[in-house]
This record gives sequence, C-alpha cells and structure tokens, in this order.
Amino acid sequence: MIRMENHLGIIEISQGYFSKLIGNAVSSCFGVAGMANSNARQGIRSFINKQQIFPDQGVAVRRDGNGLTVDLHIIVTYGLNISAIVKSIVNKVRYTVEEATGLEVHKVNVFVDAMKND
Amino acid sequence: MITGQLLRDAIISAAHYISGLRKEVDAMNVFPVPDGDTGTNMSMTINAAAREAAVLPDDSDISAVADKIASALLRGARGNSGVILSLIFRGFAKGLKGLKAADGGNLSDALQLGVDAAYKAVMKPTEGTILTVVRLGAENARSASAGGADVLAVWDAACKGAAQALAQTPELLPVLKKAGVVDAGGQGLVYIFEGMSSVFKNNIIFSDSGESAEPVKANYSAAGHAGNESIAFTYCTEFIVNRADTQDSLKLRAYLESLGDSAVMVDDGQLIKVHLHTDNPGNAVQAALEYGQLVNIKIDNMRQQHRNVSWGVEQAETAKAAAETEPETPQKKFGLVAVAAGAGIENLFLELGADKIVSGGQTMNPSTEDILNAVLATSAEHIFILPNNKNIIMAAEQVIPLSNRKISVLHTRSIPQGIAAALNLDPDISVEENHLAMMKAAEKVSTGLVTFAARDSTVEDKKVLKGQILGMENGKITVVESSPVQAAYKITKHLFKKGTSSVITIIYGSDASENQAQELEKLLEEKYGSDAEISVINGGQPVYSFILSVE
Repeated sequence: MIRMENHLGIIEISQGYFSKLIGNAVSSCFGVAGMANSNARQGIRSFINKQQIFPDQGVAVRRDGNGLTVDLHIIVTYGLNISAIVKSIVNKVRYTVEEATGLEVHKVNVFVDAMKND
Repeated sequence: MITGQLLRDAIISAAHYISGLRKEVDAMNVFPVPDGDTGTNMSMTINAAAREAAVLPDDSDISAVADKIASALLRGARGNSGVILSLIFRGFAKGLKGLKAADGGNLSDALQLGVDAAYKAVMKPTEGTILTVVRLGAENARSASAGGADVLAVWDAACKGAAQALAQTPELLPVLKKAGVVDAGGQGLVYIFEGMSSVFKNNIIFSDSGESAEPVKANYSAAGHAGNESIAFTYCTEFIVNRADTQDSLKLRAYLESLGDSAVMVDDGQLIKVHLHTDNPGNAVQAALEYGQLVNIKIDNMRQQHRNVSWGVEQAETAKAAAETEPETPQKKFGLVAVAAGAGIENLFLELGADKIVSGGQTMNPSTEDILNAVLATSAEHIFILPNNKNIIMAAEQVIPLSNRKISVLHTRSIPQGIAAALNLDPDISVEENHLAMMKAAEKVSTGLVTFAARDSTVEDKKVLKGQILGMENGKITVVESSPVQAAYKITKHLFKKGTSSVITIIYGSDASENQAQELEKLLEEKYGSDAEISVINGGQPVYSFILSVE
C-alpha cells in the first residue's frame, strides 16, 4: 500500500504490516482492554474463528498523502479517563510507526466501541 | 489503624513529595514513548487529588476520603502513568468502601483490588513497568498482613516490595536496561508510597517547598531545592511565530507542555502566540522555529526578574539573527542551490535556474555554513542542494537539521551530474517526483575528468610522475598521458557507448586553452560526429583542464 521509490530502488510496505505493527502497539497500551472489530469482514472473521486472536483486529490504516491515517476501535474498562488514555495511545502509535518506518502519521482516530465488564 | 485524616494527609504529602522529584522522574522516561513527561504527569495527577482531598474535614471516614481521591484522580489523570495511578486508587477505594478506618488486612486487600483494576484495563500488560511495581508491592503487603503484621508494617512491606520490584524493572524491560534507568512510572509510584509513609509512620507531611521535615535521601533535597516556593520554572518565555506553512501545531503544543507549566498557545493559522514558563527556553524557541519565523521574543528570568540572564537570551538572539537572514515569504515552489567552481560553470548553473551558487569544488570544499547561508538566502518552499562533489555531500546534508527550511540534498558527485539534475527540475511536479527524476538523470551521466598529477605516485601499477596528465572516468584514474587533449579523447572513447550515448559536453577549465578545446572537439567530431551532439563550454574551473560529460 505504501510505495516509496528512491534512486537505489523501491520500498514497498504492505497494509498487513501496518495493521499488525499498529495492532501490537495499541494492544499493549495501557487502558486498552481489548480491540473491537472495525468492519464487517473482521466481524465475520472473528465470528468464525472465535478462539483466534487477530493482531490487526480493530485497526484500519489508510494512506493520506505522504503519511498515514489510522483508525482504531478499542474496548476499555470502567472508570478510566478516556481522554488521557487516548492521548497516550495516539502518541504511542505515532512513535511506533515513525520509528519503524519513518512515515508520518497524520491522524489517529480512536473509537471507543465498547466497555468490558468489571 | 489508618483513619480518613491520615489518608488525606498522606496523599497531600505524597503530592508534595513527588512534585519535588518530578524532574528526576521525567529524566528516566523512556517507555512507552521517550517524551520525558512521566514525572510531570504523575505529579499533576496526584496534585489534583491532593487539592480536592485538602478540603475534607478531619473526622472523615477513610472510605469517603479514598472515594474523593479516586474520583479526583480519574478526572485529573494525565498521561499513561496518571491513568494507571487513578485506576490503582479506584481499586483501592473500592477495597476501603464502608470502612471508618483501615487495618493491615483492609489495606492489603485494597491494594490488591487496585492492582486488579489496573491489570484489567490492559490487554497485554507490559511487565517491568509501574504495573509490576504495584503488583509486587501489593503481594508483599498481603504476605505481611497474613503474618499478622499491624497496619504500619503492612504499608512498609508494600513500600519495600515496590522498591524491590522497581530495582528489577530493567531486567524485565530491555529498553530500560539499554537506557540504564529504572521505569519512570514505577519510580513515581515508589515516591508516592514514600510520601504517604511519612504521614502513616510519623504523621509528618512533606512540605510544598520541597523541604521535608525528616531527613531524606540526598538526591531528593538536591532535586527538590527551590529558591522561590511559588515559582517552579525560571524563565517566562513569550514569542510569536509567523507561520511559514500549515503543519499542525498540536505537536508544538504537546512539546511546550512537556517543557514547563503555564503553557498557553494560540494558533490562528497565520500566527502562533506562545507563552510558557520553563527552565529551557532555548528548546521552546528551537521547536517553534520549525513552524516559521519568530518575532517579539521575550524571555524573562522570573526568579530574579531582570533580563539578559544566562543562555536563554543568547539562544533567542541567535534565533533572531537566523530569522533576519530569511526572506519574508517563499516566492516559488522549488529553489536550487549548487556548489560549483569557475566562472563559466557558475554561469551555466545560473542559466539552468539555480538560485544561489556556493563557490567550491575539489580543492576548496565549502563549509556547511557557506551552504546554509546560501539556502537561507533562497526564497522557495523547497530547496534542492546540488553538492556536485562526493566530498561535499556530507556537508550539504548537515544543512538539513540546521535550517528550518525544507531541503533535499541530491547526491550529485560531479559537475555533469549536477547539470543533468538541474536540467530535470520540473516546477509542476511534487518534491519526491523531482528528487527521483533528477537523481535518475544524474545517474545516467558518465563523467570524465582531466587533471594533472600533483606529485609522483603509482596508479594501478603505473608510475605517474608529477605534472603528467591524468584522466578519470567516474572517479577512477584510468588514463595517464602527456597531453590533456589526448587524455580527454581517450576517456571519451571509454565512456562513449555506441547506441546509448548521444550527447558529449566538453567543459574546459582555466588550465586549458580554447585552442585545445577546439582540437579536442575536432577529434571527437571525426569519430562520433554522426552519432553524437558535441558541445563545448568555457567553464573556467580550476584544477580540471577538461570536464567531460557523456550521456
């Protein structure tokens, strides 16, 4: 999905790589109790494979000019300052992507889809 | 027994204690993102709780105090560590619900609930962080209370367990070990526990000024030393940024907030107004430079209330000086700065659209500063630098971090490559496309150079005497001759590939005469006249009698 070309050759980074990279970063963020399915395809996938954990669950990455836009669908627990954890999730995602690939993350949209029971 | 009053005072004490040590904790912050704000976040979070708790009466139940603290922490939570802290206290408050005062058993149960709440909130808990520290602290407290210890001993056990766990964090999290620190959030929690201990044990609240009533660790008094109680940061820094582009200023705001307090930033799209209390005004100024020119820079020392103190002003002045050399607004999309030597070649680059020429070449490498000045004097949104010599590429690349302009350095290793690149600059396509197209064009060009040997030496088993003529193909010496024209002719023969090459350019330098150039042109005309277009340019460059370009 991301293709960069320089005088030495071509660099291509797939959608799957970004989804998994970001998925791993997000799921280790404090406050993220789980990931929610971000689209119907993911919903059906986890309905069929209930046991399996998909690292790209709840992550959607789009190209946005020279950078990326990331959508995250997360599940939180009760009694959490959501604005504070979202700030730290956004920072973590930015940092991880920029460190690993050098690409700029333009936007990180975080959707709190559900709450886990206490 | 721990009463509501004790818990209230303990939180106030802890808030004061960690505020004094904030910087130390900030400095340890490398995980999850090395942004150096953990101490600040934790101290702000717990201070929010302390402020709300302070108004509670002395005879409050511990349950009510814990509830109040937990809800204040939740609302005031800042950063990861602040959120974790708020969850720990939420669980803690749940454990103390309905109690008037807590004994050892209650305390250890409450701590355990705090740990559970914190762990439940994360999918993949990272060990070696504040989570590990609080978990092991709670475990230690539980085994102490199971052994029948009193409430103070239980709390002591929690502190000890936490401190031991903290010391282990580098073993659990490699990134900490690499940086040679313990986990910042864990350290913050240990400080909070210590601050609370002081009240539980001796009923002494750490004072706001950072001076404690009881002797504490040496590093504490050093970190907590503050001349003026109410002033946390030394410099009041204000300036206005004339925005040069439209990049999001959120990053700047986040950075400024991490530098100090009282940060106010207003961005209306064209101007950003900044006010900040910080100990590092230079960093703030530096960061803001990325957004455009600075005006009305004002840095006051709030402690001494007089100006012109220390390096902060100096930094601002250099920033101002840099700003003055910059043009008002960028006029065009792309600028071109080329390094070249010789009147003819310099003119050639100017004709090809270069905005500024930096004089220099093989024997006279320009400094980074020379290139930087040329870049700053060029008014364009994006500037391409053509170093035109492999020894200058590095110096040119160092310009990028020194300037706030958008710059690309093309790795052109010779004058012909630079010319080819300059020819391919297209103002209608993007920076990346241009970079690629220019580089591709440059790579296609073969460069021949003719010069003389400066001293006796051996080149590839051939003896070279001082003064002999050397011919180089793409940087390698391949021809040793006595006449520059012959050397140039031989090199061209090597470089010219029938079928693919079609243009030969001869640039003759100050060491070669026009007659020699015409002689060479004639020779080449006879051989390649039908296949190639030959042009002759008076470059006037030093050192090289001929620069040959074949493409």
